[in-house]
Amino acid sequence: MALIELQAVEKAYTLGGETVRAAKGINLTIEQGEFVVILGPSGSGKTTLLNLLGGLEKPDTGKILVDGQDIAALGETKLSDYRRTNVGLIFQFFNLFPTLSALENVNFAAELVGKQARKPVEMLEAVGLGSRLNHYPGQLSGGQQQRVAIARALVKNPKLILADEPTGSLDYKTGIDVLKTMRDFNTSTGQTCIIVTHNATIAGMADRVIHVGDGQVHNSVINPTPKLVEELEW
Amino acid sequence: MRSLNRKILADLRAHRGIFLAVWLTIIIGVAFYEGNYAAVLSGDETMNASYRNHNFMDTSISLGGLTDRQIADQVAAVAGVKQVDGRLIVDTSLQLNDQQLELRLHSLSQASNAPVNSLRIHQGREIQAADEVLLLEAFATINKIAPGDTISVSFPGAQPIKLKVAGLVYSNEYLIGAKDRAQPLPLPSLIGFGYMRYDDLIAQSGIPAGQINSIVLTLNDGITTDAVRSQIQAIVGGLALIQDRLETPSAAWWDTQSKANSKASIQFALLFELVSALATAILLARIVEAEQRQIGTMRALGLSRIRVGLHYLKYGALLGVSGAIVGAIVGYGMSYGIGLFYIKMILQGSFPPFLNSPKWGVIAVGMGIAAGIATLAGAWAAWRAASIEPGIALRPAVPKTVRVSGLLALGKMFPLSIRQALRNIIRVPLRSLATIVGVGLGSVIMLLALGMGVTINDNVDTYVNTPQYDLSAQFAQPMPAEQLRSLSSSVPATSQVGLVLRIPMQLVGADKTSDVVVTGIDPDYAWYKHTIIDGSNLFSNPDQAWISQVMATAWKLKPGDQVTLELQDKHLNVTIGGVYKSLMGQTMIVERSKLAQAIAGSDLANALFINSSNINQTQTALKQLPGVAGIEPVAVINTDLRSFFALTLNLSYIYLMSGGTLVLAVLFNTVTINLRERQEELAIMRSLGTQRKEITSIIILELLITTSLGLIIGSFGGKQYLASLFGVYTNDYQQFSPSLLPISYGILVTLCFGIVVGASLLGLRGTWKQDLGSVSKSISI
Repeated sequence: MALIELQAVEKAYTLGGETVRAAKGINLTIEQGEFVVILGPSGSGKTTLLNLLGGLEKPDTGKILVDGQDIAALGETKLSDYRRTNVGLIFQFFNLFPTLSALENVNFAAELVGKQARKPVEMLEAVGLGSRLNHYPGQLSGGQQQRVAIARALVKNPKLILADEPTGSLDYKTGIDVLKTMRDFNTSTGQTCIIVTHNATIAGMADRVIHVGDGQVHNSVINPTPKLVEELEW
Repeated sequence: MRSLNRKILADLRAHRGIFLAVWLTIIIGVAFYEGNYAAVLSGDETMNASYRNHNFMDTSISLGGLTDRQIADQVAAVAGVKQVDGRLIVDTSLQLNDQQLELRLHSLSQASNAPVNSLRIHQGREIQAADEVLLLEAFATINKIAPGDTISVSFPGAQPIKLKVAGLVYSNEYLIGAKDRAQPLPLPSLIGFGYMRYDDLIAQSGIPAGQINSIVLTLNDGITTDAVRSQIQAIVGGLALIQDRLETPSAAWWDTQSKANSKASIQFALLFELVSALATAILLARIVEAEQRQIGTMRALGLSRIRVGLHYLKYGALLGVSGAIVGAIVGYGMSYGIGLFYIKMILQGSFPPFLNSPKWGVIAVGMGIAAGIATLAGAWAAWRAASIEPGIALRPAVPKTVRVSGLLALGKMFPLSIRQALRNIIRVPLRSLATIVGVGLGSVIMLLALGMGVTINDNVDTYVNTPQYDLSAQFAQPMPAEQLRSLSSSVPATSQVGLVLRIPMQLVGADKTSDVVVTGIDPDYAWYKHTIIDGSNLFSNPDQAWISQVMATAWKLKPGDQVTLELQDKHLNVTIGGVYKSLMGQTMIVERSKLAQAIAGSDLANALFINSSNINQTQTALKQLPGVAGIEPVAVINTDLRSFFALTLNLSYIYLMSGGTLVLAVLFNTVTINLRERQEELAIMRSLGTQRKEITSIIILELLITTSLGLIIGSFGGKQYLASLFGVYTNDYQQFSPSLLPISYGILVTLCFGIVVGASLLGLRGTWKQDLGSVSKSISI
């Protein structure tokens, strides 16, 4: 059974009096444990798709079934629960709490899910930040901040990891480190991982590549021979 | 740079809600400052104009007995004297329904008016017939006497006559119906003043023609009463009492009330301005500080630190100057309403035309402070932010706090909401401080206004609830005590009667002299009690005297001190036994026999204090007694007193409303800006799955903690300030003991928490509306 199934999902925004259709009848299926890359140029609607999957936005019409549950029909409280227990979000601009240290940022997420959580210190050590536990985001590099954000997403032990341009603000080497961390977790835990990016190179490491453009899914292709992260170059 | 100027307008437009709130804070501060400050100045302006327009006396001479009116011409010839009016003043009694009231009639030398202390007819007309009288408006109104009514007046030793009320007048000389400067109780119900033409008054009173007993005069500019006192004294003789305007009861009353209320109003006005300016400074600093990244971007684009500072200086100036202008206009309107209320309050409802010219100095200071602080606050915060290296400014801010991880670790047993709230307070100290200071300043104003009301109520309650008597009967002349006792024995329904000798005397000190009302009472009149606040109980030593709290403060006297009282050539030396709680008046209590011996060498009394089981019956009988000049039911005195202080109480309500509005604005803005600063943070919390109720708990808990700290500081500061505020109401004639009730704190806490929680919930509504999709699209914190 598919972990995620989108059925005729529509989403439009009215910005400055102009309506933009960011999702035009999207139908999509993603299996449990897949490492998925959603690929598309700027303005193609890929972030909207990620936001819909993460419960950050609700579609105007259509269904979004996650583990059989239509999250499009959930109220605010249930949707918060969904984000809390099922989703780990990684943002392009990290979005850490500047007043909390690295460990406190991860702790914050861990405490939200209670017993379901992994150990925050171990998560930070796993992303190579064991020696930066008490540093504030302002005292960390971009790559280190992104790794804190990954640790924060993973510590909840969610069913679904969603990452929006996770390497967009990082240099190549740091970007590779971040992708490797995500892939390792995907492999070791079997958690479904979805990355949104415009960087076609990253698609090489995916189990499934979904091409989007103009608010539509052009195709969803299974990659029979995913590359190792170290093999990616851009 | 035009684009930078456009950015100011764009920012104002984009965040119009928050800027409107800051703008309103500036307006409220300036308006309340000007409204209150200008109002008291307008009171003085009004009275000075009235004094000028009605030739209010500079000097009053009580001749001590009937004298040929030619003496007025001799006084007029003294160098420096401008105008003189010789008058006849006759104390009569007025029979009104069941009451016998005191009515002091003055002669009018020129037709229906006088060259000095001229009257202003507010209702009715001038006198046209011999049996007509003009009455003081405040007295007539409270006793429901109107022009055209006929009143029954008894001259001493004569049968009652009927007089027709031609009109009701305002007089600068009798702003209040006060018997004595030493005990200026405002008693408009009991003491009246009237005016008749000289010839008519002579005819009605039976006093020989050509006699006067009072002279009032005005002096040339720059001449004081003291400058002409000795020359006039030589003319009028040693027994005459020459008083400067400020030594007369009414002018002294206006002077002390005006000064006290002015000081209080100005203190409140400055406090409003200060709180508003500080709140504005804090809010603007927070707004600008939240723009650190934008400032970093500007600096990265090549703008100099000065250019950035100037940009935000314009930004603050735009808000500050425009807010100050609007505030000044609103304040001018408010000053009319407050000023009118203020003068009505002091003058018991009868007052001259109210003048309220713009007070440019007050307006300039109010606008200058508000606009200056707003301008500098914006520029200062920007200057600070611009001093950060652009590269650092563009990164997330690192908390500038000492590490308290140990403390926070101790709190691990608490839920996330508590720990997160504590972290927020500690890690963003400036934001927390802004909230604490905002709440603290607001609470000071609220507590002051609440305390003012409570203090007035408490002091008046203590005064009127002190058991003394039900009725007081004043006799025109002292008489042998036995005679008065005999007279009183015929009065029915009396449970206790005390013989009293009540004499105005002079307390003579090394460098000053003041009027004192000395009340000699028989110690066996057990019902007469006072709350002793220092020293021994009343009448515990027959050789001692007890002084009022006001007198003790004015003269810095304490138990054990020796004082000398004078009445013409008589002296009374006494040791102070104790100090009793009092609200108004320099009064003193001694045993009657001791006072009588000192001033007359015999056993005299001139008043009765009576406890009655049937006040109406007793009052009716008292009126029949020979020589009764006035009967004062204590209930009526208390009603007048409460009525007067009810108006003062209303002034505290003005402060309460003004303060409440300002506190509402300050707290609301503080909370709103606090929430605005963290919109992005809250959106991220939501995107991580934090429930609304959890976010609400964190925010409200944090604000409640900072609000509590602000309340603690504000309560302490407010209490201290209250004592200082009532210092300005303490003068030679009145004194208040500052008091606060637990309910004052309850109201303060409820109000502040209510505003904070309300503002939080309203602010959070905006948070819930924020599109979470923006977190991943454009937000970075």
